[in-house]
Amino acid sequence: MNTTGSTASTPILEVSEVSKSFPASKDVFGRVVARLQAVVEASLTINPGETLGLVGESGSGKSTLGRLVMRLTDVDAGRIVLDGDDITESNGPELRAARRKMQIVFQDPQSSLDPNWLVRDIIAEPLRAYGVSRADRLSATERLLADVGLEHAHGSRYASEFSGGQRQRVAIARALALEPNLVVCDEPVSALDVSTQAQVLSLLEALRDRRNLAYLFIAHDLAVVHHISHRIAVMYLGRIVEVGPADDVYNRPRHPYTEALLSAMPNPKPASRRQRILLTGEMPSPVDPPPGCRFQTRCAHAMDLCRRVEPELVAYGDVEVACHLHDTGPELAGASVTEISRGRSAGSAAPAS
Amino acid sequence: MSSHASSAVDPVLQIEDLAVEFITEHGWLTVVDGVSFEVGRGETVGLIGESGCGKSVTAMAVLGLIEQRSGRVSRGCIRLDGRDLLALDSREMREIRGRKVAMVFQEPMTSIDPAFTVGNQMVEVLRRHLPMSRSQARQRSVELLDRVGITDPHRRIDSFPHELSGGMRQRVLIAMALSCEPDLLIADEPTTALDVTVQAQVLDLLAGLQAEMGMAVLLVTHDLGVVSETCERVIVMYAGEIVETASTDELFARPLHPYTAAMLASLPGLHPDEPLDPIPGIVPPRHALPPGCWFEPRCEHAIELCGSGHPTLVAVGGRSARCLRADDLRLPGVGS
Amino acid sequence: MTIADHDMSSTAVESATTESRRARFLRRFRRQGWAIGALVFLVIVAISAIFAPWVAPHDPLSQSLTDSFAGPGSEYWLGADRLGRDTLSRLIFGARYSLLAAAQAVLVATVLGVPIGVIAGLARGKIDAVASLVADAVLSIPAIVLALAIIGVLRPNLTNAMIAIGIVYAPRLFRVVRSAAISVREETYIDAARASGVGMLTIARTHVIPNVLSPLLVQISLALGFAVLAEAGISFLGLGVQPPDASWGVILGQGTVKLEEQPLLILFPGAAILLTVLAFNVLGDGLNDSLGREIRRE
Repeated sequence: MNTTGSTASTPILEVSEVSKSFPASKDVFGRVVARLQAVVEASLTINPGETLGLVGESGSGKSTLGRLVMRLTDVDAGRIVLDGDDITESNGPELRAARRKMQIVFQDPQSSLDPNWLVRDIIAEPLRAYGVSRADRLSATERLLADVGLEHAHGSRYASEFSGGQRQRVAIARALALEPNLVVCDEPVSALDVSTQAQVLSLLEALRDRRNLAYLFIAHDLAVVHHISHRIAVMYLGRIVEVGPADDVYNRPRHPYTEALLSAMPNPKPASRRQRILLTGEMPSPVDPPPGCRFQTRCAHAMDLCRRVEPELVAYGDVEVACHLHDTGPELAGASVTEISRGRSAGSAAPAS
Repeated sequence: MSSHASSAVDPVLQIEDLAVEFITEHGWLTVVDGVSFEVGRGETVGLIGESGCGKSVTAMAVLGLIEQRSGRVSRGCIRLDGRDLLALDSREMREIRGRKVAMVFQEPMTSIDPAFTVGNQMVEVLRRHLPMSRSQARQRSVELLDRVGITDPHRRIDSFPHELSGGMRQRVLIAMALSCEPDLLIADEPTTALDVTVQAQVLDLLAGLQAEMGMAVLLVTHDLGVVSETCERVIVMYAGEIVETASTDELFARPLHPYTAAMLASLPGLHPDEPLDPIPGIVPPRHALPPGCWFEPRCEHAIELCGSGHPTLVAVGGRSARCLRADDLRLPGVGS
Repeated sequence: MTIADHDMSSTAVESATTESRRARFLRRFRRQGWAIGALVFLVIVAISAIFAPWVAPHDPLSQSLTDSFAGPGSEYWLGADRLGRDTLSRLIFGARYSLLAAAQAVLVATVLGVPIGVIAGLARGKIDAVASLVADAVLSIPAIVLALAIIGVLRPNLTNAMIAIGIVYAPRLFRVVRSAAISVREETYIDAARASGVGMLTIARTHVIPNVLSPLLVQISLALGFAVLAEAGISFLGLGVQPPDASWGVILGQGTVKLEEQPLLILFPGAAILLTVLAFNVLGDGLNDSLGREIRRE
């Protein structure tokens, strides 16, 4: 599970310090007076064959980051490097060449397949865009149908005749048509029932292992992300607050937000239930984020420093975390939130004894 | 009706042999078939299953909302506080809805009228059911908003729904549902559209309110995690009928029906280091149900006998399961 | 977990609706009795117009003063006019002018409205703003007034008049197409196509146009009805088809001259116009009901 792809080769994707904001409101003259900061200085690296899970709640900017990587939306600042090539500014033929290497699977299988098209044509659409001959398209489509567990006969139907899970299989087949190295999965199983979700997750895992695919797996469900990912990145209000190996992030969260997110997950297994940390209040608006750390308004551990200085993402071993708690003492830097709070209360109690 | 786990000591809601049909291109199809259960006073019961299993239709039937969706209750009996709901005319049913039984739906935006302020709608609900002046109703609404954890309720009461976040809208809906202190609250996927941290807040709120007001809650959901953390008893539905009922602890520790066990095995995160074990295939469509057990084609424990006769819901030591092999199978639960 | 398991897992395709979109349209259209009646009527009118020389019992121009104002009978089924010309034959030949003129107007409206609508809907931004502004401006001009103005500047000529009608009608098609294109653009399959390297023009052709077709067909049917009426109005005023050629509007106009002697002379052309316009509208409604989204239940 926790075997990170080889680090010696070039990463398939390197995102550095990428930011994106959208106009949020305009004055009467049409001038933008407020901007929604969707993604702020986000950096990610994905190695070939590796799955990076990107979790966050609505408004965290995780889907925007996925669209930025896919170049469906242009970045304001930062660089996106795909397989060694900088594609931040690419357009036209260059971008078309890049798009052979990365594809996307969307959340809503209802809206991501054109209801007027036969499944076979949907899967072949990317091939047609790259001028693959009709005969080659047909044989490739048959192979892809089989790869995602659909039958020959399914190809001659309309997607609207399928269940959600089958539609998602079609979307996966389309994404694989160009044999990409990286697939951005934007909430691919969120709209599915438990049993269908498990089917699609297993399919994605099987395909990854057979084709050495790298995934940027965007989801809000930490259990799903933990299951499929090698590493996990957590976003809050446009910023990445924690990145690390999946088991580390899941079992020893370093950022108070990650800890709260994990504790809020409903867990059917009583023994592994965590102490629930109920966050107070609402997520602040990305149009007007709080000063200092973005999470300080809801953080149980917030200190004076947190209200003034925005923490940087700092590496502690394999884990990177943006939180001032780790500045409090050298012996606690990089420890989990639980350990830190235990350590701090012990520390403050020490002089008294 | 045998006395198994689907009966309650002091029932608020009693459903007996309920069947609901909808008109489709294949004619009238039975979507809910022979469903019987009870919800006791102050009890929280989870009604779970995957989409299309009939859990939401069952809830709609209790609220008397089947006819307006071009369906009909073809059989059975629904009693609320001993009163037969199916015998009521639409005016009497409107009287019951909101007063005795209230509902909270999945999509908070579509359940609130976007054209009116929160306060207008709350005042209207209160005055429809209770003898209150406009200002009394408004005062009560502010209290209710405060109770469901909306900060600054005096200001928020004049907000329009679109000015509120998803979590706040769901709180407003809960406030509206609870305004007349109903005996039964039906919550249909109340937190599915919400983020996990907001979901935790809303579930916490619901549990607190229930303890305070002593109402019964029928929680309709597909989320096994939510059920395990909030419900005392669980009813599992598959393809329109109940396949298993049990107390929550028993159900998760030792499921009796292979479908329940298979759903648990499909959950990611329970055994993170093992591959998932998905249920193969899909739920059979209503017009092409298999002759025997409806789960048989997907069941890894099926024997020859399962393919011939349709099993009945059998009581097994205080709980019940619709499986021929309920006695001899030892199915894995989530363990501890 | 092996791939083989997946194969198993989806063998049972939901047996839901396996009918194609065309089959579904036909199934639903068959239930629209009035629309089918309208379609049959329009087909009969169109066929008679095309084959007028063979269908018409008389030469529409041959005069016979002895039969002036003849009533309906075995010789002249619908009677004859002041010059003894057979009304039925004149109506059949007149249908050629009326329908052709309507088709001209709708063609102009389609050629202008559809491509601009697709582009505006897909491109958004300034292009959309400008196109929508122009469309609103044109829409505020009454169609007949613009047609009369153009005829005033040029000369009485049916083609000029119908181009004017087409221009004024184009914004309606533009609006329908634009809003359909906007709703299609929000679908993620457009993003999926872009992510697969499909160009915008191809996306417009393969994804947007087919989705726009249904509402467009409905609008075209309604537009044809409107154009038939507009042509009749212009020709009635003597500004369209010039005698001795006659469209339905001309026949109606000439009938009013001797209204007191033979009121039937306005009844029949009036009925032809009324029924045809009505038929286009009923057909449009029927198409709308059978092409629109089917309300589905969980």
